[in-house]
Amino acid sequence: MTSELRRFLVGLSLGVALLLALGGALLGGTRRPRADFAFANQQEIESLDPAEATGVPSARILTALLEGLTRRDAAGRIQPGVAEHWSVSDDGLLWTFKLRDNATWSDGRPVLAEHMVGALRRLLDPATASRHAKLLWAVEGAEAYTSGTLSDFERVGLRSVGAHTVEIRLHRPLPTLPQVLAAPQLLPVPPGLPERLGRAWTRPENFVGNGPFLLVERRLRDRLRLVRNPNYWGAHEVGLESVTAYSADGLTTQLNLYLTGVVDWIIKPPPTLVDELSAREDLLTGAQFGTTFLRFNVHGAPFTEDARPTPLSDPRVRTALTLALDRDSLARDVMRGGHEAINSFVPGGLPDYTPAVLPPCDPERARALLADAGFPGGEGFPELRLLYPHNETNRDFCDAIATQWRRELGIDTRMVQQIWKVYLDSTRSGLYQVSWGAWIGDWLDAASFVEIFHSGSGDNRTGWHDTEFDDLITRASAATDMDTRNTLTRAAEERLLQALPIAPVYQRVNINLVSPRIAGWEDNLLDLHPLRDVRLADPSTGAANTGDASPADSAPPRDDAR
Amino acid sequence: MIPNLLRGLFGVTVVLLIVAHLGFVLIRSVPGNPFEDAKALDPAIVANLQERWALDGSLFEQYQAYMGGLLTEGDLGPSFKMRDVSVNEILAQSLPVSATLGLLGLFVALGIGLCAGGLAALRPGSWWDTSVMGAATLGLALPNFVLAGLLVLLFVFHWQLFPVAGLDGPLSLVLPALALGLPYAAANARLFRTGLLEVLGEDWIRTARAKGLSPGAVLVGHAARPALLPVVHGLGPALAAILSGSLVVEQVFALPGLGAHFVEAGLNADYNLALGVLLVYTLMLGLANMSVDFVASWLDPRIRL
Repeated sequence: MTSELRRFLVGLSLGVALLLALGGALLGGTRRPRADFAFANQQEIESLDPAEATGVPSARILTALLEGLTRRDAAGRIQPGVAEHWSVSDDGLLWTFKLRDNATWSDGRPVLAEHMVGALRRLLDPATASRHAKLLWAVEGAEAYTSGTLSDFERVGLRSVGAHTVEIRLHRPLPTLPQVLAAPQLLPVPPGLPERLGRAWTRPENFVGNGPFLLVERRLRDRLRLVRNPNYWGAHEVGLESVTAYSADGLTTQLNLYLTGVVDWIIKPPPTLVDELSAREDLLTGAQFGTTFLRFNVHGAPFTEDARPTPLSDPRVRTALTLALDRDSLARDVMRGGHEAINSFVPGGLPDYTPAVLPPCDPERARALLADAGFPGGEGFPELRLLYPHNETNRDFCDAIATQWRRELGIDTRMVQQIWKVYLDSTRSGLYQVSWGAWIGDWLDAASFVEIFHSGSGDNRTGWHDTEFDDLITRASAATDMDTRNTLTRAAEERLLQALPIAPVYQRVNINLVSPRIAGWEDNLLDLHPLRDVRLADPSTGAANTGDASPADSAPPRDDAR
Repeated sequence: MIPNLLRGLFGVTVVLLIVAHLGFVLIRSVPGNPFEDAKALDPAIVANLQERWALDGSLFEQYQAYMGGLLTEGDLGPSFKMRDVSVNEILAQSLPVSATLGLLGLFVALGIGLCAGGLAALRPGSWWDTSVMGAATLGLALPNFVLAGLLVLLFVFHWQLFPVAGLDGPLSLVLPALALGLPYAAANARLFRTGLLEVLGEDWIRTARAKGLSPGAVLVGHAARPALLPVVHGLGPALAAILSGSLVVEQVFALPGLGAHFVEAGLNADYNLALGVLLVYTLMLGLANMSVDFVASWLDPRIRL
């Protein structure tokens, strides 16, 4: 080898080594030991400001950093948060929350009633422009305050009485208020901080919280590091000293992180691998409070224009299309991974609600109904366009539906895919014929699920109006007790399943991979898993000893998983 | 030299301005908006949002505000999706990651490519030549996400040598740089070998050999410079491809670079972020092409800028 060649090679290797070392050192941030608990938090969180935050990844972090009047436990049940207990007046309109006196902010100041009210006021304020203000619109004067028609906050039904009492006055009863108040968007913000620092208040060096954890590091699209908050009133109940939440978009990447022991929990393994993973003890699946369905554009035209009835405006045609679907096969053979067909719109699993019943697949009756509507054997039926938001799972699902309609009814279907935002725009504006649809409840309440088909709801997206349905929903939302609310909701759901502006297909499922190192993680309908309750199955395997966690494969099976 | 440099920079600036204007209009013409969400928003809330994020004016007013901020303060505006940070802050965090990865990818593409191509050209037709060119053909045919998967399988699961994903020190950049650079190393190996073989047949090379120089010295001292020209000319497009290829590689290895932001911003109608990343890419490509022209003219003074 000549000296020039050697010089070239040595120079090249030195350059690469230098660049690697520099790059790694500059970009890698502070090297910290592996956290007690690490998980793949899917996409980068949108915000650490509750009023701004949307999406589950943000919610997982926010509920660890902040605590509202109420909170959810590992099983998804409502527990006292900053409020120790609460009561409601007989008319269901005045709620009184008594705050615990040992709740403090991480800077040592006590959490006072005026802080809780101040945070809710900030959420409603039109200048904050929070997407979530509507969560509080059952509160007297709240809607007018957000819309800017009421500027006097004194007339809004949110009030602190002394240092430790919050009074909430509603204009209509809302028996689910404690659930609503556990929503991550209603978490308090440190008093004065957002006003003083603007959006920089969410930076780790500025963040002040009142939750079980403190924020110590945030690297965009990379990771968040949390440590236990010693000032949290329930610090003794918190099982983890440190937590790392990785942002990782790719499903395969998340699985790789789990299989190599970098993380202890991933939320959604790649659908194509779920069958293969199903034998693993650490794959935990369970029903979710969500339904996937098809939506029919009953209006026949964009919603801003006058209705132009199409075959889909005829309930017989919609019933035929619904009954022709083999929901069992769509759930089990196409979706796989533990999916089950649904025979209602409201998902099963609510303790105090029995959903209405949709008849099972019946191609015979479907054909008869279609013939009755003037299309025997699908003759003369125009080609249907089925819209879905772009991804492989949705494509396979819609493809199977098109095949079933072709086979059972002789109807041809063309598939149209759009990216998510465009799909949302199309369904909101009525620029579709049939579309894929899904609804996931934010809390466990049948009424909040069914009411999306009220004619005034922005989530209706079908153009379907029914005065009797609307009336039932209005009466349900005025009911003071859950029994009446559920009875009226069930009647509305029956009405919905008779008219079928939608065809429910399957109940959504949670699929999580959770390391046996971890305890205090429970599957639940809302798929919410507060970090407060997560702990190590064997505390002696904490941060110090887990620098090279063993691959999940070789770990012993967990017995406290469900 | 200096006038050429200025002319080059002027060209890049013009391109940037055109891209900024076109990008501004195009991204806003896609259906959907930053506030479109799975759960519909009340019109009163949409009105508040539009006012707060300065999207309530006409397109022209928005354009004036955006260009005003950009040209006077270099302010690329707030991100509509990652609402705690501005686009400038996002770029400041992610650009170094992508730039480092891109440079490393380039080192891989040049280092491995030139060594392999050079050695193959020294003994044309040998088993070494055949296997290097075979490997290069394979490398060219493999898309980088397949290559990334193979690398993970081998160097993470089979031999536990490198971290699987995330940014944790120097080792976490090795596999992404290989996944990014190897396909271009393959292309460079082929280009360099062909260039060398052509040059090695020239009279002046025979003269060099006749003077008693070793084959290595002939190769590095005399033949390499003219033979590098095709490689350098290919570098412009290769740089573009390495930059855009990093979108995929960054996602596979969960690296917090520009790529993921670019894709997500487009999908989320995050107008400011999408436009900001687009401008950075344009700038990087413009500068890369400029540098390639300069290197080419240095390698062969007959090439006029």
